[in-house]
Amino acid sequence: MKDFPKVLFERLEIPNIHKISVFQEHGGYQMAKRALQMAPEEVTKIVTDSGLRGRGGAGFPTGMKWSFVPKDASKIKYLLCNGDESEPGTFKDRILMEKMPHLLLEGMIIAAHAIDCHRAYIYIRGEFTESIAALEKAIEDCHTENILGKNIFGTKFNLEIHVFKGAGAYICGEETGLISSLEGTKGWPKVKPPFPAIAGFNRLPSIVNNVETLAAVPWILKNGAQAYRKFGTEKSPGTKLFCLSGPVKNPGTYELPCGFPLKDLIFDIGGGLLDDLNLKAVIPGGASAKILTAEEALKTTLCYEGCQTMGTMLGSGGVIVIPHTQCMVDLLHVVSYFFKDESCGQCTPCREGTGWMHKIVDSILHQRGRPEDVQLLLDISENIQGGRTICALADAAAWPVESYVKKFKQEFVDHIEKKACNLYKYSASL
Amino acid sequence: MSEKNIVQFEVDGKEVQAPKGENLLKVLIDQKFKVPYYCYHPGLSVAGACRMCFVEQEGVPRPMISCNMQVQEGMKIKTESENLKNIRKWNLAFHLINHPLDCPICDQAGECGLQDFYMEHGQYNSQMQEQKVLKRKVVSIGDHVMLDSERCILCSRCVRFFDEVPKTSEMAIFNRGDRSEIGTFLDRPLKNNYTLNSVNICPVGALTSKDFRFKKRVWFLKKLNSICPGCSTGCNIEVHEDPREKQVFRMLPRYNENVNGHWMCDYGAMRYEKINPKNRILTPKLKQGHELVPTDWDNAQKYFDDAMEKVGKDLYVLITPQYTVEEFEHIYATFTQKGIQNIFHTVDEKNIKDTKVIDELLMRNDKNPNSKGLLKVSAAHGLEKQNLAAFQKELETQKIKTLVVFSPADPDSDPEFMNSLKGIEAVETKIQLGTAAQYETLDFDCILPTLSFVEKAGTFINFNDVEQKIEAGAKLVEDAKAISEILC
Ligand SMILES: Cc1cc2nc3c(=O)[nH]c(=O)nc-3n(C[C@H](O)[C@H](O)[C@H](O)COP(=O)(O)O)c2cc1C
Ligand code: SF4
Ligand code: SF4
Ligand code: SF4
Ligand code: FES
Repeated sequence: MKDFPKVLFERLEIPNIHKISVFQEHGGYQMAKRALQMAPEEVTKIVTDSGLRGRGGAGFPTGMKWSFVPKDASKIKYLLCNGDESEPGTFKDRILMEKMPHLLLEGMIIAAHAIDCHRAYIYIRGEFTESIAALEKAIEDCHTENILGKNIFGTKFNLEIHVFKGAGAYICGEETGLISSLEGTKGWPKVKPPFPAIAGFNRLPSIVNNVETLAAVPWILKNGAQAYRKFGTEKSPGTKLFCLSGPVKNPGTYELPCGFPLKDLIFDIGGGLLDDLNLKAVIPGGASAKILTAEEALKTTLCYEGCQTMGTMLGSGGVIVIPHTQCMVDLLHVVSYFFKDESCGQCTPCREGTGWMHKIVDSILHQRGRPEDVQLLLDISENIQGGRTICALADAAAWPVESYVKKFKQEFVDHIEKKACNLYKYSASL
Repeated sequence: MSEKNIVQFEVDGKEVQAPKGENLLKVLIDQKFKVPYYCYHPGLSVAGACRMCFVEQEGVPRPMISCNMQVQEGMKIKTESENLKNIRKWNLAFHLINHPLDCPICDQAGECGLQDFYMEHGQYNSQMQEQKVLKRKVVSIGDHVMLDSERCILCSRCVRFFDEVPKTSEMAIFNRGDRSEIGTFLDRPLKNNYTLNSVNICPVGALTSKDFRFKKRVWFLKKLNSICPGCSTGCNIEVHEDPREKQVFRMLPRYNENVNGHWMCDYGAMRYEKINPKNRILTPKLKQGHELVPTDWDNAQKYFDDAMEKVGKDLYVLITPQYTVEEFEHIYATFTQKGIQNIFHTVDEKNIKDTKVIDELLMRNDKNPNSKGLLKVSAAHGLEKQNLAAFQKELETQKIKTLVVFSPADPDSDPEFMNSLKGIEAVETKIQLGTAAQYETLDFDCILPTLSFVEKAGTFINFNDVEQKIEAGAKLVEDAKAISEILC
């Protein structure tokens, strides 16, 4: 493995790094201080030049997103940190929030300065009680140290950051669903345009960024855009957190440079599968990413373009390892249940399509499948994706269906024709 | 709209003009392009939920929903293509998989968005073999509204209506995913004066009018453009009647940007009941002893003419503001030509100066559709000062021998009419021209049935001096006569 600096986890192992004093002893908030001496455009430019891409799933260039915010000084602007982390297989933001709350806050101060924001929110899913407690304490301590509040570090810059607890809905991680929820209504995504950068929270310009995205900003400011680009790939600079789960010897969250071979994550870092298990498939970017067969997985590199070449996506970095004992019909049953359960129900193709797909998979799993169901699943999944809906949850629901059925078709056909499954008894998921 | 705000663009190869920034779907609907839609409503915010209204724009790779697009100079739009056909077919299928196809017993049949597009877009056979999601049927959610949530397609029109128009936010979609269900919070009944609008804008048969349900298949209804007679706002309406049955079945709001927008109040919508034969004066009647006895028109007209003849210039006339401008003109002209000057009106000037709305949106204090019209005509004859107060004074002097009253067409506007006139008993001969059975009382010696507002053409002038026309439909009461036929 090539040597690379850790952007996010550099200080993770320092005892008590969640405490403000310890964080400050290790260089904490120096970058926030420096940023406040710089012009906002200068900050944005460094982030743009670094090539940092959003870690919430879509990989949108962060600096470019910030530059969409209108420069109109009279308008209130919001920074909204997305800590909803609800993509199955993803557990990285939570580590940052619990263990490194000040790193996130420092990133937020810098980002807030860049977009001229004076009131920011961290939207955290309600089940993350430790993240919530850690951030609330960190914010309180910052106020005591004049790192948040009025005239931060003696400058003219004011910033308040509030923690907002979600109620644990996947859809509240979608940025406009998050905004609706924050506004106090049901977490229904909003039709776009307008995009949040123009009309977001309270219809005012708002930037939604993932926890990991914002936490990478202090390092970039400290070391410069070029340093960030030295590792990772041309199109996916820097490092990313990968959450390795499934029956591997060393599951966990690892910071790796983008472009890292998926094979090495599973077999070197992860120590390979547990005894007697063989690799059957890998879901590389959270439950919504299209599945890779073992053969494909071994050829995949963990960067936006690497995953795209293999027809899937880097997504949230949730790498789920599937062993040879797993029945794919059973797996899809669980995954399709998740999406139909989490669909907000607002738009028809997603509301009806996700429910319909799950019912068909349920029929197939329980020996009621019909030969035409295989094609029907593909047809439905095709017709709820690709911009047919208000938000991308429908796409996220369609991709697993489409990819499991296409790549493991025989298992579905066998369930229907033979009304039985050799693997079902091994499946853990039911 | 000034010239420079109009933009030119192309739809399916045709040149189209519209104000810059106008909602594209609205323009497509107005200009009769066939784009299916369920959730869009021109009077509400954009939801983008049904996903039926996709169109293609040249230079944009993916189809987009036209309800969330704005008209721009030079844009090239396509409303038909293989891809769009496929999208619509599938979106319709998604709408139908959990929809009970109970059209034969559904009140919305004939004006149902689902049924229409289903017929138009290739009668797609539901491929869903699995169990449909079951929801509640026949739930009462207010005095006027019945809900069948299985039929609901979750377009959110009703939710947005109560949020945005009367601003009562009484409806919501509960739960999520395919368990989403429309309803009111804790099943509380809807309580505002605009609930029937939700029935009107519901694109399917999920919200139905308790009053209208099961009464009539909509294709039997004939439509008249009219004005609501319920108050001085003068909401523009459509009257739906079945001429063969001689019944009006409902009144719906008709769009008028300057008066009522897309809406009307429940009180107004229920006015139709008052003009159906059940509540009407059906024949001329004369008092015999202590009874009002039906008679034929020859007899009645003779009684009326004789009374006129006998009293001459000393006749008193009392007019309520519930007739048309044309009728007022006829009444004033006919009587003044005979030298009769004791023509009084019941317009309450204090009341009509107060033009604030008294409910959530449209209703005004003055429950008459044409107070301004009556004032205008009486003023033209120099008789505007002869108001109710003046009439009351005359009554008290006991010099009124014969009185002709044009009674309120709608008794709800003034249930105590007549009873509130002190000293009326002393008038020897009282003749009523009117429509409302409620006033068929022994107060009168002679009652002559006239036409209701749906049986005659004419003009109402609203609180804001807007002159508006009503259209004549079929005669509902055989024996009713135009005022111009009776007074000549
Ligand atoms: C259904 C759905 C769920 C999402 N959940 C999350 C989430 O839990 N956390 C997150 O950061 N982004 C999530 N996103 C992505 C956000 O919409 C948004 O793109 C992201 O927060 C932007 O931040 P970034 O630019 O820093 O990636 C989700 C998107 C969709 C469509
Ligand atoms: S795509 Fe699904 S989750 Fe997204 S808005 Fe539509 S119904 Fe809701
Ligand atoms: S009840 Fe009617 S208007 Fe309301 S959401 Fe359902 S279909 Fe739409
Ligand atoms: S506001 Fe007045 S005119 Fe309008 S519908 Fe109601 S009663 Fe009729
Ligand atoms: S009318 Fe456009 S999405 Fe419903």
